[in-house]
Amino acid sequence: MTTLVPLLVVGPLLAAALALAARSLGRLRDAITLITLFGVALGALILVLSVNRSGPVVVRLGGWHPELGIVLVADLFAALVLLSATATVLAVEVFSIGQRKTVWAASPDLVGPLLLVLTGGVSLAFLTGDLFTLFVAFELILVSSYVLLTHQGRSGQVRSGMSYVVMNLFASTLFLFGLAFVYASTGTVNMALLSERVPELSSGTQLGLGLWFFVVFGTKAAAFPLFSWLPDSYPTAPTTITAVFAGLLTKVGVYSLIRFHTLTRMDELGPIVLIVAGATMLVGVLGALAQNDVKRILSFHIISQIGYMLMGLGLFTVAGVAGAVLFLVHHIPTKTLLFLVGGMIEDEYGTSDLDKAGGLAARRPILGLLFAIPAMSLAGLPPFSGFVAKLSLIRAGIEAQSTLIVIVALVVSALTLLSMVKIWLGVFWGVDPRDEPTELSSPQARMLMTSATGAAIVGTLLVAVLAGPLWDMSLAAAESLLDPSGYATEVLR
Amino acid sequence: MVLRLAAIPPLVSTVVALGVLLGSSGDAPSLDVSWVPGLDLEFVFQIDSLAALMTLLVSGIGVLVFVYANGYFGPTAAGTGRFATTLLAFSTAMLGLVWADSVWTLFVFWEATSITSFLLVGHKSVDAAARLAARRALLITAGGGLALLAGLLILADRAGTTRLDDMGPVGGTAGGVAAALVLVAAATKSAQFPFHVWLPGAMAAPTPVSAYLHSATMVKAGVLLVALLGPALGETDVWKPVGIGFGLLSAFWGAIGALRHTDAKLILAWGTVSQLGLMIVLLSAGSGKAVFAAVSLILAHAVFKAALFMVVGEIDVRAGTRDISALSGLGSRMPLAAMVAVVSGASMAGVPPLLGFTAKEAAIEAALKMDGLEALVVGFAVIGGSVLTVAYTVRLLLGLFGPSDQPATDIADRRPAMAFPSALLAVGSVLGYVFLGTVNSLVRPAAVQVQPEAEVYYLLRWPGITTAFLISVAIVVAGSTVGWLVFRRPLGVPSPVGAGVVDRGTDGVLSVARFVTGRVQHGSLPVYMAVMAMTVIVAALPFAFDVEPSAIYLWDSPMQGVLAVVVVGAAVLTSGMASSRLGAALGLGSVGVAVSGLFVVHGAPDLALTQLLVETVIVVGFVLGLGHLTRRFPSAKAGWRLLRLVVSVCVGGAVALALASSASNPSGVPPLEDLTVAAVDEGGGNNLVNVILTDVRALDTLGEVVVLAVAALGILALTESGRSRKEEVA
Repeated sequence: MTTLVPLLVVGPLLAAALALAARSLGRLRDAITLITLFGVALGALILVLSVNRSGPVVVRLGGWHPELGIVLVADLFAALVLLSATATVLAVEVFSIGQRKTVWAASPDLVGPLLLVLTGGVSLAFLTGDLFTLFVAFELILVSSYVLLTHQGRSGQVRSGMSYVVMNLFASTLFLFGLAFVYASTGTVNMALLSERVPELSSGTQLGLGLWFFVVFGTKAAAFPLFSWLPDSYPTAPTTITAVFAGLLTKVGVYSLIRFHTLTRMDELGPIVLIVAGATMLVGVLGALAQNDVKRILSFHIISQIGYMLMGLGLFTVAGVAGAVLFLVHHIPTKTLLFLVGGMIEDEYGTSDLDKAGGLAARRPILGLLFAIPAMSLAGLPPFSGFVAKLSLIRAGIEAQSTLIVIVALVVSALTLLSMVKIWLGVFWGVDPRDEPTELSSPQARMLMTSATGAAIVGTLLVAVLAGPLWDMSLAAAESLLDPSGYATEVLR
Repeated sequence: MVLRLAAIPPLVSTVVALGVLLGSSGDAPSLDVSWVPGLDLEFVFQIDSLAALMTLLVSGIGVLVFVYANGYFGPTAAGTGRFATTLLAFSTAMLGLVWADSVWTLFVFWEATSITSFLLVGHKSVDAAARLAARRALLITAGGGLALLAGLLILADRAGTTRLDDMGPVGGTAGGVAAALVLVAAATKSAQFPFHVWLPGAMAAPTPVSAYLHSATMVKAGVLLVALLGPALGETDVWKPVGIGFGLLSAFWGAIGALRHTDAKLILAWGTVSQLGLMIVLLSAGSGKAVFAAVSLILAHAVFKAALFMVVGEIDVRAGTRDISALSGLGSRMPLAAMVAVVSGASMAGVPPLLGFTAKEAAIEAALKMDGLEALVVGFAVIGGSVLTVAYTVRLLLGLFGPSDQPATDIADRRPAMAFPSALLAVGSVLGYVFLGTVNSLVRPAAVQVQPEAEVYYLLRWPGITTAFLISVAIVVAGSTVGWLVFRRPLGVPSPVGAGVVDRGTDGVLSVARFVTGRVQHGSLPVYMAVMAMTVIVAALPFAFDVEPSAIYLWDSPMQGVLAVVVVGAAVLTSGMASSRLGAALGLGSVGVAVSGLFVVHGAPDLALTQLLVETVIVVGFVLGLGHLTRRFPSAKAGWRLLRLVVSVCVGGAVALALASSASNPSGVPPLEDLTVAAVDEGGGNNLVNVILTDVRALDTLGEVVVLAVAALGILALTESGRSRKEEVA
């Protein structure tokens, strides 16, 4: 395990270099990308099983003591989210190979290597036990995603990429400042040590640090009122790119929020987090309802769903945090999938505008099913994974007697359903507005995309089927998150 | 063909249900599949008496509906495969619902029926009205689903179990809240006033769906919920008044609706609202006799209402309309349909010798047995509702088959697949009366399961001249008179007010959403940045409470002070004053140079060199890139410039404050000595910074190297795409 954990970070980065070297050798490049992503996902699965059985894995890189060097820590929280994320990237890569044969394709010689860098960055963010390395991970993710967003050089992409990169760079700068504050006040950036030293600070400084990092990670997570970069930039990218972003980027922010704020025992921030959670849910879902374009609707939903995860954190109870963990695990593949289906809709009509689509359920019933399952899951309908995640959060809210956020969560889930119905009515029902449907993609490409999406659906259904063990693991993860002394002991011994 | 195949599964489960009902085995078949034990989510099924009775309805009528749909759609219709699949999915979901023995199992299938109902209502999705009706139905029932979710969470928490079997009475405020939520959920599903508005719209669905979901089965789910949770929640203060309130209003408002419409399907739909209201009144009242009457009504209603829908559907298909004011002479042209309708309608009106009569008789007796206000209210609902029911039944039958001065309507050929199922159901209404003992043995155990006191009751074939019977006679006489009078004098067809309100509400939500989003997501990056900066300033406020002035000193050496002034000055000049892009770039460069000066003062010449190099490259890069842009920044308004200045100063202040606070009372110090020693001993290097970069924190370095490489790639890709675009243009 001590080899596997660093390999999950460094492996994709090395493979990215290889894939880049082989950029003109299409098959080799694809093979490197696919094999690496598969390996990382498999590694994450092994990690989950191992951590679940025999506790967290701590790796001191270069053998340096945590006080001096960097540690990687794979606990249950990290491993679970990593598995969900890497499996999702794998599905997207398969999809993108299919989509390449269509006019919407992102250029393949860059996408493979950049996806690998992104994966490496995401792994690093989940696995690092060091706040500065988390910053580096954010940089990796930011730069690779920015290039993925803009590499086609369409003017709309570059323009909307601007909001994305400027706001995120600002957040990175704030992160850097935050690191300075942390280092000045505690003399360390190691998370385990921070979990001991931050609570010893005077209360104003403590609260200030908590809020400061809430802003930093909140921007990354697209929480209210810092989400504006997301809906402007996401819909402009090629589908596969947006799909990966939707599944991963904001979730790294949420992950870091949960990690940092539980580790440093910021329970006092609970009410503020809950207010932000409620506002994020509401504004996100209203944004989604206001849109008339599949990709834009889905983009706003990302924000709304972030609110649910924040709700779990804001409760600061084991059940709440566990709900947030499960929600993360469910959300990553589900959201990505919806974007993939959105891409196939775009593929069908040449646009994702609701007014220019219609009658797809009759023409491609399979596509209807592929959309309906993750859409119902997103809206929290049973028996899909979203239902279990939502139920766990609402239950936690009722237990904690936070009635207001429970009501908001319920109302938002009704509104979520409304917006999914809007897509369904616009795209799948009604009349096809085109006089003569033209085929924009070849049957083979469709086949590959459909089967990649289908496989991913099976993946999300697995999340629902295995919700029992997953919930137990989320609960265990939450227990150790809310009692960070165990984490510290494990890292520092 | 698909439809015929699809009829097989319900046929099988009908047989099973009959086996359970008539078999003598003591234990009800059950199945228990765990799902998420930590959240008490499990699939628990038990086919007890009530479940078996419902199964008989769901599957028995299901089989007939599949046969009927075969005739309804004809051999050429498109999309029957999709229809059959969805209908079968509904049938399965409905069975899951009635077999559920855990609140969460119930909930899962409850929602599944809402979704399948949505798909079936919108089956003719090219029709905009059908789409709108489907959306309305889903939003109302799914909204009720959320109320149910909250209610069940509270209930399960209070009761300490999720099993319906083990649930004891729950009280207190929490119980009251749960009761209210559950009743709202039941009201949405069973189309109770004011949530009934989705049901008339749902008549946009193909008639087999109306007969199946929207009269015989799905809409009974709310009634079933009230029956199942009555034992647990019946003792709360909320349960009886709210439940009876919903039911009473619906019994009357539904019947009045049925009297006013001329579309036969709508008459039946409004009638369903009324009948369901009656069942909810009886179940909420909760006495043994009332529960017994309610369960009998569930059975009787399913049989006669499904038959009536089927007849109306047949008329619709064969005559091309189902408007009672447009039809004429069908009594002689469609004699079988007329007979079926008259028998089923009579059962609905409570006329002997039919099943509906005995059920209504039981309901009247139940009301008579109550005391005080309850007797008055329930009696009013039962008697008043029944009078109106008779009235709209008479009006419907007269309208469909009665005399008319218009020329007889032309009708198409007979469709046996449509006639046969409805005829069978009409025979059922008669046989139910003939074999009342058997019916009793179906109904009583089901009622006992809800309310043990129902044990002593049974349906009477001939009650004798009792008060109840006299009331019954009076009801039929009064109702017929009203119906005949109303038929002669048509009331204006009401506009669907409630449905309009819901649709306008939904559209209102959409326009509020557009308004809010337009305000929040306006697309201006500078405003986003300002919002973000202000958030940071607020976030830094707590730092102000813990600044230790004694911990702050101005500088280690005065040179730092000089450089700081340069840095701040250059920054202010650049951000506040510079109007040309080149000036801004150079200003940024001078900030960077001054910072490298700070490194020199701190004794890190290699860092200073690196910083200088980086700054030079950046300035050169800027200058090169500026060639493509205008020289000056676009001009900004004075107010906006001032805001920018204020925000910048505040952010700077916030950072300074945070640093001061962080340095005031540190809880740990950097391990500088350890690091210095370790760098030499373990790292094998005398330059601490180098050892940190290449060994201690080598992973960070690797990461940043990759960042640079990717950035370079990105620039390359952008220039390449720019070039290829130019070539395209050329």
